[in-house]
Amino acid sequence: MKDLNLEITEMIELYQRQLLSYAFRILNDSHRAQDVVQEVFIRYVQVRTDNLYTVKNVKSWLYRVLHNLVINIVKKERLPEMLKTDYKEQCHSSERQPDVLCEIRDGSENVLKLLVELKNLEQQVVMMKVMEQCSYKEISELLNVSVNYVGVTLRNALIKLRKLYQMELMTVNVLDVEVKS
Amino acid sequence: MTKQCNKIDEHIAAYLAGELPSEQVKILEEHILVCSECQNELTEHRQIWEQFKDVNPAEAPTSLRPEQLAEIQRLATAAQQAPKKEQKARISMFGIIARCAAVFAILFVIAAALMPALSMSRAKMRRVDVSMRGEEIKELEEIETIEEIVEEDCIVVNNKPNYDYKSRGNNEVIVTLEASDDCDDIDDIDYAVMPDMEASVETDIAEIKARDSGLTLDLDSDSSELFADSDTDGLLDDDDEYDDYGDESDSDDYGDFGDDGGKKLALKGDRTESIGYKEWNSSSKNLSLKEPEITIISGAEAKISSTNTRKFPENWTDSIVTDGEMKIGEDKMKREDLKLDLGVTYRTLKDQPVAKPKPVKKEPAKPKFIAMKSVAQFPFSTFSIDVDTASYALTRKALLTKQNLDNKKVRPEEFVNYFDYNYSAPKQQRFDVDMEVVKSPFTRGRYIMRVGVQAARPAADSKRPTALTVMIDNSGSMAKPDRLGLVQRTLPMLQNNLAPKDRLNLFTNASKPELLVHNAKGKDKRFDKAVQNIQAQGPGNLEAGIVGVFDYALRNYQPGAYNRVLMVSDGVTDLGEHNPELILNQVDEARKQGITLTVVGVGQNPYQDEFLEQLANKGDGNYLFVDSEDEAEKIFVDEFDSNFHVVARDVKIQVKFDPRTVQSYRQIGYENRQLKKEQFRDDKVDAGEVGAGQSVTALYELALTPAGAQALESKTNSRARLADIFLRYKDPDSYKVTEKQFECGEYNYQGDFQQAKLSTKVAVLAGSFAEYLRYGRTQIGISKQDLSKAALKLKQESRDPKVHELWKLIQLSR
Repeated sequence: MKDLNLEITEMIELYQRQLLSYAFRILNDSHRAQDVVQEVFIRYVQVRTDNLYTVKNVKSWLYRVLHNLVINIVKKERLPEMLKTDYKEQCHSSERQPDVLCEIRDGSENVLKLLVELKNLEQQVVMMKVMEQCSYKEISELLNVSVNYVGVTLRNALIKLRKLYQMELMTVNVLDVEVKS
Repeated sequence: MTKQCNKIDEHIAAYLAGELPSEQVKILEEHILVCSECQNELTEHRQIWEQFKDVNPAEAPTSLRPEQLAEIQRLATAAQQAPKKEQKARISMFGIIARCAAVFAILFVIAAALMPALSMSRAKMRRVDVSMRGEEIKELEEIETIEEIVEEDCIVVNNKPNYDYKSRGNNEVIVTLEASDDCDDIDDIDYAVMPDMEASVETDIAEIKARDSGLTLDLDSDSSELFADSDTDGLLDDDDEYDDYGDESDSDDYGDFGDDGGKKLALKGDRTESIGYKEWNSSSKNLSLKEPEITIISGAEAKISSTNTRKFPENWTDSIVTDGEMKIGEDKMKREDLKLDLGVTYRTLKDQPVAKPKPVKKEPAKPKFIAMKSVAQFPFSTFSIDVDTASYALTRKALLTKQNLDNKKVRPEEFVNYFDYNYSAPKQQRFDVDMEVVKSPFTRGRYIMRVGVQAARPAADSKRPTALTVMIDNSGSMAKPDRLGLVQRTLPMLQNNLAPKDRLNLFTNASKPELLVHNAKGKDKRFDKAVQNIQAQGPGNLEAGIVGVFDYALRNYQPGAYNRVLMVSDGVTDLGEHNPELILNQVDEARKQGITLTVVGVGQNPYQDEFLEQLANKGDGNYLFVDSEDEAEKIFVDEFDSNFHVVARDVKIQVKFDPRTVQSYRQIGYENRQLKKEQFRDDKVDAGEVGAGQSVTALYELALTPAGAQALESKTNSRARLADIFLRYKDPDSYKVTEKQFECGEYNYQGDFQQAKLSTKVAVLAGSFAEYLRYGRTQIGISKQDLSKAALKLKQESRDPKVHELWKLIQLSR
């Protein structure tokens, strides 16, 4: 076995910045992001020591594990939280003009809600392209799919997002009407 | 929307991503100016795009905390110092797949890379068979645009490839391409449609490719041998078919590999072919679209200076090309130099096939109601049999506990198949079909045709032994009385149906699978005890469990027995290190080797519900849901045979309506089990399995022609025929295919609904109720009162507690 210690140090040097940025965008919490990224590296150490399988493309592996971990956190912790704070109640209880408040919704939370509706691969493509601004080529390397497929996936994802977004807007409008009446 | 708009629509994503070639950008921008519709579309897409872009920029931490680094270091050191674990001889399926995939991928890549070079050296045209598999194909077939995709991906400027394709079923399509030698992007096709290509390239594909390119591939030889062995003369002899096109003298101009035995490239003019395959491109984010792309050949040699050469490493992934310079290890070199000294070619983006996004399958927010189909247009109705019942149990739970009901999860066929119809079991044959036609109780002038398929129940002593591997999810979330508790109370009942010759294994799985009972005989007390002692603990990792348990089941394969994995889980799990698709592939692989999978869900609405259903589908098994002890008893005891002993595989039904008597029809349920007409006799197409003694019921709503109606009502023995029913299935062991034909006609007509057999009444009520829940009152034109009335009558006639329950559920529904 190659010196694992050295290998892992090099890996951290190389990738931690990108991975942290990726995690941070979703989690919006430095500490949490660092925790998750640490977990990714620890898992890598485990995989290497247990020799469960060989990781062919390290970077791609790291991103995939990170992405899955982050989405797990979102699904488990963030979404239930969001659901708890009932949107309708917020509108009612507020002193401000309801329609104003209804429009101002936490951008990042909104985005998360939409994001988890996508397929795993679509999520990753959207994250990498729109947020991290990687090129199609880079994404295709990271996800181990063709450049063409990245394009197709992104398009599908955008169309889905648009539909979801419109549905969101519709519910907002409906609530709006209810509040006003 | 015009044609132009459609095209624009396809390009919007690429446009926003800044990946659209400049000439397309121009077209798009010009169009936007004149078309308000597309403009709107773009604005909306851009809005979303911007919203995502703005999420938490800039303040991300740049490094891990020191104590975290230290911890990782500590673990790495500890891992190295620990004595090396003895590697068990694992017949790891994952490993095998990965290895095979690697071998094929290499061969594939070599073949793909070789072919252009070879054909170029001797012929102007060549034919290539390319296999495409995966989920995408399904989508492709549905929208029938495979030609488009192939075309788009293969055409490089000045090319006119011909292609035809045939479906092999199983989501696989073989495309035969005839392409001129400039078309060097054939391998891109695979990528375009197969996200997970490695896992699905099959042996024969590598061979086909090899044959077509005139090479004989030795599966054991590595790439360099392949090169050394292939000389140009031999190639021409091998393949006469193309002699018309090419001319031996061509080969002297082009092909000079093999001469020097190395991995140099065949070059002519500014054309180069890549060998070894590694495409590389600038990773600079500011890469302008006009900048040429570079193809680099890993394993190729690069001249750094006149005396100094360096080899590209085989797995060269992490060098960077920026600003015309390229780094190979420590050395930097200019792009211009690369062109001269390396097997590096510039390919401008123009030559690169443009990623053409597929038209998207529109997913309706509400389940779409399928209207009556005209017999003149669609005389055939073909579907795969489905024996799942989970939808009924899930709905029952939602109604009884007054939770919100997800109408997408209500599947009418699963409602219908939940009930017992007591069709008489066939004695001689494997299947019998029971048919009945009655007037529709809900819609005047319509008729209902019920087709009941009953599988034989083999005699007890002729039963094959069962090798059952049970995996119980004992992650933290299972620690509730309606989850692990329920399983512990009910699972031991399973033993009632087991004989001493059966084998039973037990795993638990929290973060990793743990073997508790190995090869116990049926009715072994150890099993009961082990189940009782399971405790829920820790985080769950379902994937690790599936991988481990299937690995075990394969090693422990019992020839001649029903080998089956039974997985019990609440579906609350994290995605781990693997892609979900990979797991599904593995289950699929195991199915081919004879191990099937039954998934039993417990608890609340499982949040990986979709994943569990897919798992069961791939594993040729069923997805059942246990919400109570009664239900568990039904599954583990009463229906043990049907759930665990398969009597026929890939069971398909085709109904051919007679246009003289039937005007139009509509099938109730089986929406995602529909097959194409020609898939019925395509034995590669996967379909449902049927267990011993199991019955499957399908319902059709019919509108008859005047002649048809008269034939039924006149009560003369007109022998008028309504439909022919074809049943096709495979023997579970020999895979021998059998097809049977049955007729349904005037003699199956019972008259009014009240005259119908009890089974028909129950089936119609269950199906209609499910449709009512799924589509709503307005779509199907049946009100809750209608249903209630019918259910009440039925309740008085039937003693079946299930029917009484159905009545109750109808009362509870909205």
